[in-house]
Formats: sequence, C-alpha cells, structure tokens
Amino acid sequence: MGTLTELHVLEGHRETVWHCAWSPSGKSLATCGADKEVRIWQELGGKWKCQAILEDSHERTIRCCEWSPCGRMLATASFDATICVWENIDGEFENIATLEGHENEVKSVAWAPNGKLLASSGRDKSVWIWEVSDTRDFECISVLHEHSQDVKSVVWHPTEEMLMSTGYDDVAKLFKEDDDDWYCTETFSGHESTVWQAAFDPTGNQAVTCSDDKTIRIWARDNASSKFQNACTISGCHTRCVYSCHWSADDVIVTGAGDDAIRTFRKSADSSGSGAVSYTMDCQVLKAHGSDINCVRWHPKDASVLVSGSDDATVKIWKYTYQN
Amino acid sequence: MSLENPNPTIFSGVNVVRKDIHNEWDEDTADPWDALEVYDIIKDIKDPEHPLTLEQLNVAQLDNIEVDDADNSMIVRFTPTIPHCTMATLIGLCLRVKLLRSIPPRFKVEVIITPGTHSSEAGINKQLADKERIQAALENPSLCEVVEGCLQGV
Repeated sequence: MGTLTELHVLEGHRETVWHCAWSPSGKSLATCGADKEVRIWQELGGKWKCQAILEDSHERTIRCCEWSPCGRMLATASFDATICVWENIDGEFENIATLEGHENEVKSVAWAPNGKLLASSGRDKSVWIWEVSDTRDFECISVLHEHSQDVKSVVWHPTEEMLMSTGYDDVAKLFKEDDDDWYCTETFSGHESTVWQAAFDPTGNQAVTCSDDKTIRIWARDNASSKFQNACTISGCHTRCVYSCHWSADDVIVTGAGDDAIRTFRKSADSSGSGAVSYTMDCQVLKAHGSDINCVRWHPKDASVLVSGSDDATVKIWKYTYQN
Repeated sequence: MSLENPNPTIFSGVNVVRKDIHNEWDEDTADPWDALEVYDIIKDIKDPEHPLTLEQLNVAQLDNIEVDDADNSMIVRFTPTIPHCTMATLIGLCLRVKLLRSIPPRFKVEVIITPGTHSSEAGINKQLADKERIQAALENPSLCEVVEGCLQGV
C-alpha cells in the first residue's frame, strides 16, 4: 500500500490555485491562480519560500503555467486571452513575449519536450501550435479546430511529436504533424462529461484522462495498429469531478479531485491471465485540502514527491511511500 | 426588447415557521445549515427580466433545496418560469454567485435546474457545474454587471 504524507504547506496566494509546475530540475516550483499572480518557490534550509512574484502582466485569472524544457522560460496562460513568456535572467523574471491570437480565455499551455514548439488551448475551441525560434520569437504555425467546445488542456507526448488535448466536448484528441501540416489522428471517446486533463506514462505508450464524470480512463497503445485503446476505466473512487491527473516515473498515477481528495493508482498484477490491464487505488487522502484540488504533479527528479494546488489557495508538497 | 414571458404568475412566497430565535444567540447550540437558511439567502434575488424576485416567480422554492450539513453538501434546484427560458443560465449564475458569497467554503454547492422544467436542462447544468466557466464569467465586466444588478440589495 502507498502512503502520502504532507511535508509542506505553501501559503501566499490569495485565491484559487489553478496550476502548479515543477521546473525541469525540480528545484523551483511555479504556481498560479485567480489572484492573477505567478509565484516562484524554492526550498531554502528545509522550507519552501516564495522567491518571486510575477504580476501586472495578466489582467485576469492565470489558469496555467509551464516551464520550458531548458528551465529558463516560463509560459503563462490567462483568461485575458493572452499567453506570456517569461525568461529567468540572472534570477529576475522578465516578460519577453506576449502571444495574442486566442479569442478569449486561454486555459492551457505546454512546451514540446524539445523546446521548439509551444501549444495552447482555450475557450475559443481551438488548439494553437507556436514555433519557438532561437531568438525567442514565437510564431503561430497551426490553429486546430477539432473540438466542438472549450479545450481544457493540452499535453505533449514524452518522446514523439504528438499532442493530446482534452475538452468540454467529453473527448480527448491526438494531433500529429505531417509535412508542416498538423492534423487530428485519434479521438478518445468514452467519458460522459468534460475531460479536464490528460497525462502520458514515461514511455508514451499509455495515457490517462480524468473527467467530470468522476472517472479516470487508461488508454494503451495497441501494438498492431499503434492506436490508443481504452484499456480500463476506474470508477467508484472519486465522488466528484476529477480535475487533474499525472503519471510518475515509477508508474504511479495520481489524481486530484473536487472531493478534496488526492488518490494514487498502481497497475495490479494480472491474476486472470487474460492480459487485461487493471489498476487499483493504492492510497487516498480524503481531506488533502480544504477545497477542490485543481492540480497534482509528480516531481520530475524524485518520483516520491508530489505537489498539489487547491481552491483553498494553498499549495502542498507531499511524500509518497510504497510498501509491497 | 420584448419579454419572453410577459405575464408570469406571481406567488406570494412560503409561509414557514422560522427557527426559534432565542437559540440562535446561544453559543453552545450548534447551528447547522438547513434548507430554510439557504432559501432565505436566495429568495430575494431579482429575475433578470422582471422586477420580481425568484420567490415571487416560484423559481426558487424551499422544497427544491437540500442541505446536508454533516456532509458539507447542498443541492439548490431552480425552476425556470418557461421551459425555453433563455435567462436560465443567467439565473443559475446569479444563484452560484450569491451562494459563493454567503455559504461557508466547506460546502460543495450544486446549482441545477429542477428536473424536467427546461428544454436544455443537461447543457445548462453542465455549464453551471463548470467552475472554470463560472470564474471566467465573473471576470467578464458586462456579465458581472447584470449579475450584480440581480443581486443588488439581496
């Protein structure tokens, strides 16, 4: 069984925390939310302290923040219809670009693992792909109108140039590029309400999606067709909307939900011999926060450390241990 | 602008026995939230279309509110005056905002259409349950102004 132990509570945000992102080294943490601020936190002498506040750039809620793979840049997506890119220049964060184009609320932003592409999505039902030049210019190279409703999130495949998006239209979609042309290759149907987020496993052969239908679904790539198939659906654990999911390097799935709980799931041994994939809940913290949990993320270097952000305006850092 | 429902039926409100006030002053008495308390909070919200309250229009009804104080949850159902009412989402938004401001954050609040009373029930319920859309709506100045108008003095 697994155990989650609360290590630190990071206080400072005045309203809902929507998103948390570890820097690639795991030494810094960026958090953002309804107070229109981004906070950068670092551990000093065993305590997590706010080292910088990025403010006055967005006029509305900051829904998402993500570090570039090199760790020098941070992209922030806001309900004010813009994306800001910040660069860490000798410890000071400078706003180096404002990306305009979305009609209204931008809800998600994600850097491709090679750092050369940035994806964003929003209320205008579109997914945008931006090319990042060496001189830090950002040029939109594709606008994808495949979803019929708001696109809640985007996430890149860990090893291949592929992007997954999730939406209010109850589906997730996968996009690929062919000769500079981006197109939708797969649609993941099955969820019965909004799909809030998705995450790939470290190999990229499996993905997890979480939904307002209170379930999470695991999708596994079929060897023959290389298409993703719904391998299993986990229901009966969450009692409210599941807002966030993430997959660790140790193959543990974590979820954060509107029932204030954090849960972890592990693959169970295949006892039937049928080859069917099944996952079981291995840990749950029922009152992990005082309100809805909007984001959960594993530490990039230490798969036993987890961060969570909540409507209760706090960010928490957790230690995960597992005993067979 | 012509009104969607120019002649709504006006109700006089419920005749309910309020709680014994004396106990309210006793700090040793636990005072759990109940449906009546929630009803009192929302009944005077004004309809976006008429100078009437949700109580007068029977949009809000005591029997359509369920509160489980121990479980920290409540369900508030509202009944649009006509099944095609285009104001239903806006009324739901006003209810959400009012409850957000008045109910302790420990409560999970669901605002939904009374089953069977609106042609787009599922769609409106989904929108009202999406807190991201609610938050975005509240950052929209023109929408915010309408909501504040309905909540004025309430």
